[in-house]
Amino acid sequence: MPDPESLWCGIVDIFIFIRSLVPALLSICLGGFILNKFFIRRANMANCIDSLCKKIEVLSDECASYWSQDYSASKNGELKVQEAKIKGALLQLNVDYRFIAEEYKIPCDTIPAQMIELVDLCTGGQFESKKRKADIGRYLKIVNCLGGITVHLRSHKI
Amino acid sequence: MKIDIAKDFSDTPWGRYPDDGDFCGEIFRKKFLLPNLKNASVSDPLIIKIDGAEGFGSSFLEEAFGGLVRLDKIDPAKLKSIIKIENEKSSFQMYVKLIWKYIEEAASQE
Repeated sequence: MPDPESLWCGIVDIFIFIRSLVPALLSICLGGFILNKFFIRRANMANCIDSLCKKIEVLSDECASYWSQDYSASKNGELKVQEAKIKGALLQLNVDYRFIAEEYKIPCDTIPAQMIELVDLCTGGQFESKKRKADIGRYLKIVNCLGGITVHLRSHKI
Repeated sequence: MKIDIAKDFSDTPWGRYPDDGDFCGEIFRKKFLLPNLKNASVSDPLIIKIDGAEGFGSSFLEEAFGGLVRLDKIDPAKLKSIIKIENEKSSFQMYVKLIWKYIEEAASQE
């Protein structure tokens, strides 16, 4: 049967030991939480940027198909769908970009101007018009503009 | 004076010329913008609400607004003082910028 006094001293020693560990344990937990939150945030941002870049690729494909052919009455229905897709993609791109820029504090000094240029290029000229002729030069400008936006976005993934 | 494009004209404005459809830029300019602009003034500007439409093509915007300067020879400075573009959706802000861009470009081509 242990002496009650020494038992009490033992309990006190254990309590003092645990108490000395508390700040270290708290620091580890807090540090882990912050690191985890930081990396999860970075991973989410990377996913959002990848998703946006995929939408940019789809828009580029639609524009390639649309601006590489003249208006044709026989393909009117198909062209109307393409026009709606291009306009919808541009609006979606604008909304997504604004969300990512605001959420992840991406500097966007040049992007709004690039977006306006992009909308102008994709849906300008004889877009939605029966007088439209194929315009490969316009498509090249669209690709360059999309490339600029993609590079800007990807530079924030690292 | 106020024009709500989606309610008064179409929620899917489309194309540049009447050949492209009934809701094209030229018809909007001739039937909605020009008659209303005659009565607009600095103190009573023409308010154009663009929200509600399912997006715009630049060709529609250029024909409708750029055309006011390019074809109807309205002074761009006067236009700026008597037109107010209204939008609630932040995503539509790009269309507001495009409208003023086309008015300025049409003026610089004069």
